[in-house]
Amino acid sequence: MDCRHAQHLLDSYLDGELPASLRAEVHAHRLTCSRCQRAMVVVEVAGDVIGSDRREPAISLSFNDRVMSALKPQEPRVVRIIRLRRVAAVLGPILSAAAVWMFVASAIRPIELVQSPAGLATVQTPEVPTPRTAAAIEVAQSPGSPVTIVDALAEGLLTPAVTAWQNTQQSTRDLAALGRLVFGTAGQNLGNPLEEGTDGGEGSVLLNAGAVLRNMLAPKTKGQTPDEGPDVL
Amino acid sequence: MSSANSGPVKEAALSKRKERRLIEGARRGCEVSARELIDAHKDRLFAFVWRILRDHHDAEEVCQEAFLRAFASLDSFSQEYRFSTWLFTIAYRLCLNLLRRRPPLSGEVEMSTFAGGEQDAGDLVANSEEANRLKDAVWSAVDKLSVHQRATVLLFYREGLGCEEIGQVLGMPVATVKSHLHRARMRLREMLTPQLSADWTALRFFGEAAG
Repeated sequence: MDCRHAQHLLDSYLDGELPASLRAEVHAHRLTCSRCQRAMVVVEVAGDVIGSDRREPAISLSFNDRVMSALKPQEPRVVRIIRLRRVAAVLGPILSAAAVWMFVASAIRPIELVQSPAGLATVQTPEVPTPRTAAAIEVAQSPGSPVTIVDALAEGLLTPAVTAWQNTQQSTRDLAALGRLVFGTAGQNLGNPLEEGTDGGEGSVLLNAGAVLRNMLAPKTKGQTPDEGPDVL
Repeated sequence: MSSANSGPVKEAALSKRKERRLIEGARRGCEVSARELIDAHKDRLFAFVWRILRDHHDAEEVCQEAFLRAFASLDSFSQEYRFSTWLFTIAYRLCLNLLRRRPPLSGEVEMSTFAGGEQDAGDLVANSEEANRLKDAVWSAVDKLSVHQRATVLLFYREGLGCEEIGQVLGMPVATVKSHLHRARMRLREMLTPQLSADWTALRFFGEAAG
């Protein structure tokens, strides 16, 4: 084997890919040729240093903690928001139905119309004077908190509504008449809540309660969706 | 790992079965498994990345990002690959991105002046002044290689990977890997032969060990 041949085989030799017989020939040439020996040794030395020299800085002791803390925080928050949205989606129709019942039941029994300082109409039923009811309706007109709405409605609105319905037969006919009135008048008033009509008595009850209904029944308008509540991502 | 040339990797590699268990655990959100996976690979990964980037802060940032991305893609991770291959692949791409945004290496790079791990008799001799000079010369020459050539020699000699696995990490065919490897050797030989012929004592020591 001559130098040219040995140099040509150098890479395969260093890659460990030469068959045994050729490998032996390269070895034999190295023993007799100092130039080829030196060329091969330089590369072998370099490879050895690269493979074995561990003089590099150590990675920080806090590295694991940094990776783990970067992995952790997002998921629980995302899950919580998804759950809130699901609650709102499921309870939307229930809220609507409960609001209607509330309105219907209030027509059977005396109601008190309370004007809050903010000018919002709130409805209180004397038999179950739950501050949460009023608060819930106010909250319903402000962004966010579908969970609070559910709680308050369950406590303050559904109970009296169901009780009223169960108590009287006359109320059936009245309810039917009122229902026509509700869906007729309140429907008209859905687009014009507090601005119109202060003719007092039943009319104003309808109008003012219609405002409340509007906010509960109407599709989510700007500024009043859970998306823009305090927990948004 | 297949290897034509085994570098003396001292850390015990995870068995494939254990690695699979840890990956499953990490997938299910088990922190202990995730930490164990990090521990098993972080030192080797950091050494590779630091040798490419030659900057401690950048190397840690790349390693952290590589682990985060690897964990984020665990669901689609194919068991036919080693986790380390996947990790090194991500890290290498991040290195390339970073290097593209950086100006080329100046003369000021972080030098290898740090103590290694445990020392045996061979290390004591190898830490002589001549040997350290030799090592510095080699690393200095490695720094002058192109990034693909540098990565190839690191993966071949240091990680003991075969050309096929190097191709997976670098995202290139085996023939291209061999081309980079052979070209790197030629360049190292050109740079080192004039330097080292003056220091033949140290070379002879290594020559005997290698022959």
